[in-house]
Amino acid sequence: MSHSLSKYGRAAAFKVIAVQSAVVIISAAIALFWGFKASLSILLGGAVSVLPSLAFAYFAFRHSGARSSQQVVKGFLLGEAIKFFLTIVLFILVFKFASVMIGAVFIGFGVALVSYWLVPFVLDRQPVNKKV
Amino acid sequence: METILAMTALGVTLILGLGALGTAIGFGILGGKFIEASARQPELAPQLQVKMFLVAGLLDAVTMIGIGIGMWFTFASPYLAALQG
Repeated sequence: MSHSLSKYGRAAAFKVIAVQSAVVIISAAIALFWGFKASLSILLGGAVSVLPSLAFAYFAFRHSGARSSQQVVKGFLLGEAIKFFLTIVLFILVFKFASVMIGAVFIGFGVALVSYWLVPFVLDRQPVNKKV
Repeated sequence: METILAMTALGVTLILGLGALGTAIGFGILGGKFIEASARQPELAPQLQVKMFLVAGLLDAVTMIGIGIGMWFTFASPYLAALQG
């Protein structure tokens, strides 16, 4: 029961992350006009936002349904903690080991975040009361 | 130089700590409301979970920007670069 209920939510969450990834890739492709380094920096900045979101979505939708609402909240808290530390680790890796343009990394990161903010408006146009 | 390092460490600690505190308070409220709402209307729980996921992304966005700035100041400090260059 819980597994089939979480399917709908997981699909919506991964749709959000797919849109986020697509926006980052398009931005990186546009940044190729300013050179490979700028493009790579935007891609890495976007990855720093997208990969932790992916981990968060995985943990947030492990359980679903009203009967397991406490497990849902626990999953959200665990997912958020993992997202927090994964973001720190990825930023450290990017700044320490990759030769990047810092401004472009933040542009990529910002583009990924802003696309996440805009996706709910796109999702809201779809039927919300879909049978699960 | 020592002053810059010390102040940077202090600033980054405050950014990360206060950011985590804000996110924790937000998640506490969000989780509580989710449990309350899904107890009241159990059939809406899966849709509420998706909404909670979207709001969670908005909730921690500013904290994530703070983490980015903190890691930049720690591992590729523009102040140290200005001092050395």
